[in-house]
Amino acid sequence: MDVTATTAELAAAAADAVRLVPGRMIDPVLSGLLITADADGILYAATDRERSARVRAGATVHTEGRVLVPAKPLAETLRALEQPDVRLVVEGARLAIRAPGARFALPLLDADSHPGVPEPPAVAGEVDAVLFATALATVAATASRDDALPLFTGVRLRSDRVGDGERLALLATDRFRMAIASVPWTCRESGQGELDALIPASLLAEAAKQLPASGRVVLHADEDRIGLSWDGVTATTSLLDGAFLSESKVVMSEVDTTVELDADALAGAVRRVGLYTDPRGVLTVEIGENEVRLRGADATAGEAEESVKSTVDGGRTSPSFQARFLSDALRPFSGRRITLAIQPGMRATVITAVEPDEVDLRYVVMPMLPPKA
Amino acid sequence: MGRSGDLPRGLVERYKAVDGVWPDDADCPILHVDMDAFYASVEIRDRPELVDRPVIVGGTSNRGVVSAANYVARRYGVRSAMPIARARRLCPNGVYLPPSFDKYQRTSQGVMEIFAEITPLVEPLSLDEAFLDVGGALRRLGVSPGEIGQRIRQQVHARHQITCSVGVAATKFVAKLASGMAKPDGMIVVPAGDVLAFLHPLPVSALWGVGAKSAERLRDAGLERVADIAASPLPRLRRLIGNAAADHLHALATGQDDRAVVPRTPDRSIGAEETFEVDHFDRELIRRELLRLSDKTAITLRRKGLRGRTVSIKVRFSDFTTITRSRTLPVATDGTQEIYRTATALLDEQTPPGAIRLIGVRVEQLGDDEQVQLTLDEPEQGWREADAAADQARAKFGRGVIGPASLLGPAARRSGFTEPKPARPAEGGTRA
Repeated sequence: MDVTATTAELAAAAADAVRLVPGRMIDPVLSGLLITADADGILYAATDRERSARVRAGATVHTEGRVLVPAKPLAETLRALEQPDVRLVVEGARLAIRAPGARFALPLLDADSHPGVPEPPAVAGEVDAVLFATALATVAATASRDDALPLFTGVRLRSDRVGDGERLALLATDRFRMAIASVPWTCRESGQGELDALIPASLLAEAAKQLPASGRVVLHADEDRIGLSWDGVTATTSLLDGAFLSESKVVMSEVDTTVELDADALAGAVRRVGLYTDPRGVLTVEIGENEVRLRGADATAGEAEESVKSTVDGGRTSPSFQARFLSDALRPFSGRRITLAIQPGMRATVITAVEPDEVDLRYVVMPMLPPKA
Repeated sequence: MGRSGDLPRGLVERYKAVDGVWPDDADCPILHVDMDAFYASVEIRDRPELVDRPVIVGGTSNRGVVSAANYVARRYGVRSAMPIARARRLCPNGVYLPPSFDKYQRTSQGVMEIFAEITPLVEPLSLDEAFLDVGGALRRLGVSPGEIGQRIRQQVHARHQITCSVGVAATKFVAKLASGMAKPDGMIVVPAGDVLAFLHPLPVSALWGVGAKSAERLRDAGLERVADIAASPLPRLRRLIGNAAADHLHALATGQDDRAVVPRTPDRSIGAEETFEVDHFDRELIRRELLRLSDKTAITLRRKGLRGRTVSIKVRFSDFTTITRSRTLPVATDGTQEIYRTATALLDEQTPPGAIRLIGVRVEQLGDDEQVQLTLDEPEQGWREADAAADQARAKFGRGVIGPASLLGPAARRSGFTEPKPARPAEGGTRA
């Protein structure tokens, strides 16, 4: 193999591949990046058996070939290079990374023992890249990072027929809050038309970061795997078991208080009053005539109170929340007016935007257990 | 402290009553009260025929350790924390009893109630010792600290038929030293003006925070007595044992200790552990023991009204390498199932294979349970209600009446066992 390419492009593609399959593999073969040079340029491929990634990069190929090299050292070397162009060339049992005045040589791993990177499953449909990334930024961040309960580390993607249009619902919960988003969905004729899968949130969070600022994302799915592809990148992953996550399980019909207010004003107050709370960071949202009052108090931190102008309907329930959960819930609504739908007792509060948006988002937060009367 | 053996003879006598007259106890508001050989004394109270026999309480198999030994047993050289096997060699005709924590807990509560009648400023250090600040109580009761000390000793004996020793001093550190030197069944008053005279002849090992290693390092440097520490320049001490330890020791050696008596230091963590009689490879069995320990720990948390955010397990392998692994939960818990689930995850994912000798579960980052984060998947009746119902049954019918079904089979044979108990800041906590 012998190719020359733009360093920046080669480095970015290698970094993307490594981030999509970050598994710290003990098996050296699986910690390798498979590089194929052919008429179309370079294809990086990586897998940890659960996940896989293929990333294309443009290159001038002098000699075609296929090699397996340690992934992270390659990505880090390319990233560190300051020379604009770089050459990758096999020299004996090494892959040499050559740039003017420098040579870095990585040992070749046994490419034939690599299990290969599977083709993605059949196409299910596609979504707008920007809307998908926007929805994922909130939803994937709401999933739990605690691997002890794998179910909660996933994002459920589900195609729904709404009226005569179709939407892709994205759901995630860590048991304490739930983010429910939906974006327009274009079903592909060739696919089954139905998508319902639980996908590791960490892959989707990484994909959301890499998605391009325009264009479409194609979703591939079968019984066991899901794939996403865009702009020369294809990532696949095994599905998580179980479809427990469902917004229908969350009671939202007992609302006795609704409050309309400015998301940023509330978020600012939460941030400030949150400084005056117990170690658990609990603050109370008191509903007034035409304002909500946030109160925090702690024996050592002191106490704080701040009011935010609101339009209030009802006003019978004043729940308490962990400040960090409220902050997370308000962030995606930044710059907009929101409605808090508050339910009494041990039930959730639901945040939605007053003006609908192309990304439909509902954020559900569970309160603290109300004090016993 | 158990270091009274190192003390110069005659020193103690100066601070005891002579013909019923105690040394000057003005400005000595701090009392340290310490039960004498507590577990053993409670056992002997209930079985008076043992009073003149060596009594050793501890894990009864050969792999356990001594929890307490009465003074008869101590004459054979038996000490707390010594392996039972060694104690048996030293004292083959001793009476070896398994610990009965329920009994000690009840007695301890009774003793703490006596303290509470005198002052609200009681800082329990463990089941069998506490600091009292009687400064505020003096005027109300119209007595001196020494008289309060005597009254406590008499009350403890009258109500619970066990003895205790009391140190009366101006500071916690000196009071604790004094009670140790008063043992057994005695009291010492160190007048505020005599603190330096009292401290300086003592060996450096008497100072809080000086273990065998630092004592050796200090001795190598020619510092054997507390007086040597007090006299040595601080920079030199710092070079010898490090800045923090040097400042700490120098302050103590010059009689400075401004720590207040803090009623009920909040528990830092609560946990339970057990040592198996034989090492176990079987992870299924270990998981069952984790459930047992998680249940015990959770019950204690709920009884104390506490919740913790971090769950840790401790595993000691057959070669004595010991690891702890912990995981922090998003919200604090006191639930048996959640603690157990986290503990098994730590065992399954982060514990290398091997024969296990000791296993423990601990919950840290404790807080009170007034604030409970609700979950979306919480059924109206769930584990929380199951736990509460089980707690109620236990309160009514006793400990063994209810528990997880998977623990119904025979338990792994254990040689050592600790009840769920709080870990507190180490003594001499000023260094922490």
